[in-house]
Amino acid sequence: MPAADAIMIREAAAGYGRRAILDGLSLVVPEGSVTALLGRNGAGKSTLFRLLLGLLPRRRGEVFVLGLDPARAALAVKERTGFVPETPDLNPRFRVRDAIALVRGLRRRRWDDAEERRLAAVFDLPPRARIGALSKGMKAKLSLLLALAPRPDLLLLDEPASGLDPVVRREVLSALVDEIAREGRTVLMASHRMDDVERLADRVVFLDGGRIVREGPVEDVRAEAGNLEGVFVSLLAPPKETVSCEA
Amino acid sequence: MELTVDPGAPRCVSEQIVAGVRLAVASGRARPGERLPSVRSLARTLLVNPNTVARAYRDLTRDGVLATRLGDGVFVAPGAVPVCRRASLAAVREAVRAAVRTGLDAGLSPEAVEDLVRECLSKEGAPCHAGR
Repeated sequence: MPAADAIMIREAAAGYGRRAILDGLSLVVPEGSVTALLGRNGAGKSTLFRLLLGLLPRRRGEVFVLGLDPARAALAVKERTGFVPETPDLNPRFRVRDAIALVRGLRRRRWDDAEERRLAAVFDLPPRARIGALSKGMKAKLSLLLALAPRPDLLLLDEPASGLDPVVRREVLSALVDEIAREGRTVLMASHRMDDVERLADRVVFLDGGRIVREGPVEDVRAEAGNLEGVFVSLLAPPKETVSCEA
Repeated sequence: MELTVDPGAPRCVSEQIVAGVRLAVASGRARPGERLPSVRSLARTLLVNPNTVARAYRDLTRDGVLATRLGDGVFVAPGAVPVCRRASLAAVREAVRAAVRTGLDAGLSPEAVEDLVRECLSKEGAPCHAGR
């Protein structure tokens, strides 16, 4: 299995009950890249993350994450992967510092204390506050800290900056720019914010109907329709009747 | 040197950085010998992928706009001004061409388009020589 691919999926299928969400999906995410996963709501982006983390079994095909099969080695994959879900999965009764201490304990082999302190300071996280009392922005920043402090080889981001106010969004983007600058890490991010994708990604893949319908370097793909939003709409919008204007 | 990027614009982010540096040099806001921010620092300011900034710096170095001094960072190259003036002139010509085409497409006469250009120039405070 190729060492230079952080993610390698061949002809994978996965879904819930009788419903197939991913069907015949093949995808390669090169090590060191920042790849953006684009697709309409319900295209299967979150399902793909669950498949990569070993939270959802595949029905056929091959899946390798950092050279490991997540269906057999979910723990080893999680050990080296940081995941920021769309909705932070945090116990509302915990205090911020206790949530950090818990994950620090689970990830102690890779945890970087200096990075934890740095991010806690730049994010201005209140250590004694209960998570249930935090704003959406604070929760997003805490969730990002918990994913970044273990210095993951692979960072999976599901809508990292959606629904955040412009100030928090800049803080999150800034932390991601720092992370991207770190040698050797790979990032796969799902986002509906085409501007964030143009800022951060070097590759894009479009997911539709359970498979990848277009992929390539951002600069090549965006050139097809002026910018990424144009490509997104022309690729994924249902065909419409042309509006004509009678003189 | 003030640089900005607009991620949804027709030009990709790296080309916008290239154009921004060229414009700063052509207009004299950045002079030969001036040091540019490091790749990492500009990436943080603009909130873009550092590889994108690195690519822009590489293209500018190839074109003779920037020069690297080993261990000392990236600077505006000694011969950068004429290179950037030529490139900026080409960019302005393209922008004027687009504006003229918009005017003609909207049904304006060539004279009306010309008058608009003069009017805009005078509003910018530039002396305008009445040619006719």
